[in-house]
Amino acid sequence: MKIKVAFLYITLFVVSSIVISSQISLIQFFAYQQWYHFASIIISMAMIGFGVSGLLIPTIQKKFNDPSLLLDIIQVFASISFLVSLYINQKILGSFDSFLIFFDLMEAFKFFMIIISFTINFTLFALVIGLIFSNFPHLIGKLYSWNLLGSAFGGLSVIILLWFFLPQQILLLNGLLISLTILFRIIKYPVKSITIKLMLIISILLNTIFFISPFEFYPSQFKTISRIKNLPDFKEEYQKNSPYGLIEKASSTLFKYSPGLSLNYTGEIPEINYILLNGEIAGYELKNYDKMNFSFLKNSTLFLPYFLREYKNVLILNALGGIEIFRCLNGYVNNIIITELNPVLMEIIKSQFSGASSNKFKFFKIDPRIFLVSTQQKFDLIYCPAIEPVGLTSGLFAVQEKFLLTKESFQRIYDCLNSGGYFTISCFLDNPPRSFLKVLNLLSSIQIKSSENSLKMQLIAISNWNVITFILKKGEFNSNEINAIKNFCDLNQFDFLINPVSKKLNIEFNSIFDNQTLEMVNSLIKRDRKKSNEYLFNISTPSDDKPYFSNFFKLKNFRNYLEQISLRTLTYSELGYFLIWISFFLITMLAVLMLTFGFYQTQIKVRLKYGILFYFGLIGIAYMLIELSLIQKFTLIFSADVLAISFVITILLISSGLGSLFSKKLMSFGSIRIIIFIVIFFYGLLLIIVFKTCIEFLMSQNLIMKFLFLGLLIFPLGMVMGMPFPVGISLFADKDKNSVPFAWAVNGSFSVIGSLGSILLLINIGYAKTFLIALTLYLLCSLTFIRKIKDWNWKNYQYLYRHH
Amino acid sequence: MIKIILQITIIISLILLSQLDNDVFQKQRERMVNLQIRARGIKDELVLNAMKKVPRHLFVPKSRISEAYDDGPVPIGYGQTISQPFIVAYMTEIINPSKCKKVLEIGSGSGYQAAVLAEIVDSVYTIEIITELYKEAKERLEKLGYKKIKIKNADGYYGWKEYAPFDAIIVTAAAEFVPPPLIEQLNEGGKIVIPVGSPFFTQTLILVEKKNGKTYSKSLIPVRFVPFIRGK
Repeated sequence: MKIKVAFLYITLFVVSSIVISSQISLIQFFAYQQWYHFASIIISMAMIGFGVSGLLIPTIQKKFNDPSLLLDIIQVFASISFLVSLYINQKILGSFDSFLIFFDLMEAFKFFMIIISFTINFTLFALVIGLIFSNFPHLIGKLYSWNLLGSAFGGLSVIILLWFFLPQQILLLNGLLISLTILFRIIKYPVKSITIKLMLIISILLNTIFFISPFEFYPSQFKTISRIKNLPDFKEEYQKNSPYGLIEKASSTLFKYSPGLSLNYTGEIPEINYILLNGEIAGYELKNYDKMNFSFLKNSTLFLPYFLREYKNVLILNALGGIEIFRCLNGYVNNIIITELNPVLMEIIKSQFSGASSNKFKFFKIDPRIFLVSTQQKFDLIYCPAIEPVGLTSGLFAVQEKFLLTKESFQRIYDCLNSGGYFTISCFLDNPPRSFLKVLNLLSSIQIKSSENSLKMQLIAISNWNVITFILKKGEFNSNEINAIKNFCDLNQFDFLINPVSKKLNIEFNSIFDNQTLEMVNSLIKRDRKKSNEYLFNISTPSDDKPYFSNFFKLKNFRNYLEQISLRTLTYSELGYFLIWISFFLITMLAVLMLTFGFYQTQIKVRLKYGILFYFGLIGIAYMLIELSLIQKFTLIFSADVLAISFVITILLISSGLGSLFSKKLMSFGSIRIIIFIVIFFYGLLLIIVFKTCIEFLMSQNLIMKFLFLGLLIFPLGMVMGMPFPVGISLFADKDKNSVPFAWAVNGSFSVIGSLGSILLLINIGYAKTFLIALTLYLLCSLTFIRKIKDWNWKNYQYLYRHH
Repeated sequence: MIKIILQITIIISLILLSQLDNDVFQKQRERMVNLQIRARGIKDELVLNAMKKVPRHLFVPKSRISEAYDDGPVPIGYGQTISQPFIVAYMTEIINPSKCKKVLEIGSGSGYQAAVLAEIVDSVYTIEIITELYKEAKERLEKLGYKKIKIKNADGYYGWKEYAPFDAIIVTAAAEFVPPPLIEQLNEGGKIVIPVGSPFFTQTLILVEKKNGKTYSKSLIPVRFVPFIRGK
């Protein structure tokens, strides 16, 4: 019996670990195939799985007399489920295309089917956990510990595994792992069923085969990787996965890159390699640079700062694979500091500059934003590479956090300049104009010290036909500098668009702006926010609270955008935002179905049902709002979303689990339980203040200290957030024991709605307000505990909460 | 005997059906020209007639024929689209085709823009980089009898030196820069039309003109189906 129990613990450990690592692997998988913000959809799918399993357990338990056999069957199905889903996704249906969903019913159907298929995977794993807990209530304490350990292990191990394997391989590895767990148990305690044995062998074989030769990615045809693969001499030079995403290096004689190039340039533009991160361009590597004439880099608007003067030191915030370092080298710079977070990308960059002049460079494998808060150094020039047009790199990342492009970041950049230093940033023009107006708005939001002159005297901009380059000086531009800029523009036929000594915007060679855009530029320079607020698109300054630079949506203009979609004239980037809404409606539909089923199946008083809807609905939503808000905030602190997701999910899971364990002691305290909600509210408020005031301190810590500090900060919150579910269960079960499955379903359904809803809230109202809404919802829950209630045996249901 | 009669009946029915089909598409084309193109200010009769004549539905994938005359671009595979009819008409009108003899198109796609141009100018040279699209377009244009069009599978960056200089160059894909060889292959006074912005739904067209050795650019249509500034 002792050994049998040990296998139970191992199974629970493995399955709990798989649930977490599969979620993170799937997030990475879809980040490559489709677009970034699949994260919230994956979390929703997992939660639906747990919700559905809650509804199924009582029914299937009735039908199967042998719980051990039932567990075996479900485990075997679970072991092969990821393989089946991947096969459906990649081979049968063909991966849906997030863009075509809007125009093609078949694509929408595929999207729906894929959501269903992965939800089934999580349902199976949730059933395994649920069955173990409900069949062995006497072991609840130890089972709980193994469950927690497994979850924590899954969160950490996947980060390591992503260095060595593709996400789809990790999913199959998970399948293999669970199959082997069953196999070992069967060897020790043989089962009679031949079907199970056969299925297990098939599962092990297939998972192994597809692990060794994994499914190829099937990215959207509109992603850069798909488009360049169509080119005749495309060649993939290099591929390396990491928790930061999949880096690929691709070559073709057709690849050339020269933003801001003068129209009178007649020379050569050399070939480059594309460096892609998750299928989108992350940088450009020059080929044969030792024999190169770099004049193409000099005849660009981006070269202006190097044309103006010499620099003692230059800080390059992301070197775009190295090309911007070459531009810098063609100016006169003695000391170049380069920051790049992605270690794989950093290696590619470093390899190009290991020659004789390598003493000029200092490389920092660090996120630029973190570097800025950590450094005490001041710089002559801070260089931010060009922002690509909407629909290229930013298109698929419309709802991705971009912490380098926030007003806090711009302020910090400005503060890191030496007196007289420059901050330069370039932007491709898009239409309708959005990106460059937002950049201008960001630049104009920088607080300039009173001793310095107005923004008008500190900001210049030059443009060619599709790129605009800004330079913000820490100090006033003098006449020598202005003359030099004029010369540079004349040489290259650029326009000196924003000239500090000119009252008008200057346009000579490139008549690319209409009057409305020019008016908007003028009002932004004058810091007239009113006009920008009236703009059809959202060009307000992104902040650390709402770091969505590429989101140009304004909710109040939703109808206008819909008209544009029907005309197919809205750019892809906006469609990314619409996808969140579509996913929200799809997932909500599933959740409502689940809820309706539960509502009519449950044989309890209608009044009690409404009470359950109120209480468990609120805590379901509130928990997810807090979890997703924390992930957003921690993405800034860790500067890697996958780390943030992994850390927050793991810590909240463990702490909430422990909280729910401790809540046992509160069961008999009646209305004192209200304290739980008050503690959540005030501790949450405290966290909002701490993250606002100490964010730079937290960002500047090393990874271990970050884990420690942030763990200590959110662990208590997670613990108290773990209490309302079992406490609620005890309250309602005391009134009617049959209400428990319904409570579970309600909680699961609203959690699902909450997870995608939180993304929409974060984008539209920001982190602090979303967090505050969640805290208020918790406070509202306390109304349920006004009356004293009796104790109830909650043990059997506590595990449900941790996965709600 | 019955078999032969049956076969003849089927053939006649098919011919009648295809005629009926042609009539339906002809009506759709006329509607497209009147409502989407003429109504938006395209006046050049040569362009309007060309747009009426070219069977756009034969340039889209079979599964998307019903969308061929819609007021928007249509995906044609490989991450590419056939441009919105208005954009095609606008690009054609802006180069002043009646004065052009030789036009170069970069990015043949389905071949539709080249076909429209071929209805007006003396010769059209079009380059497509994606081999599959090139093959499809070549076959389609040959089948439809467009002999004025020369198509090749190559990188549009280098233009088509053998036939240079050109009176106009139409670039149908958004680019980060105008390739220097294209400017070199442009006649003095010639025009390049190039889109700016997202490669999927480019809406702003930029006109690059070569005048007295200098190159000027100008925004042509900041297409605005809804007003930008609101609340006034």
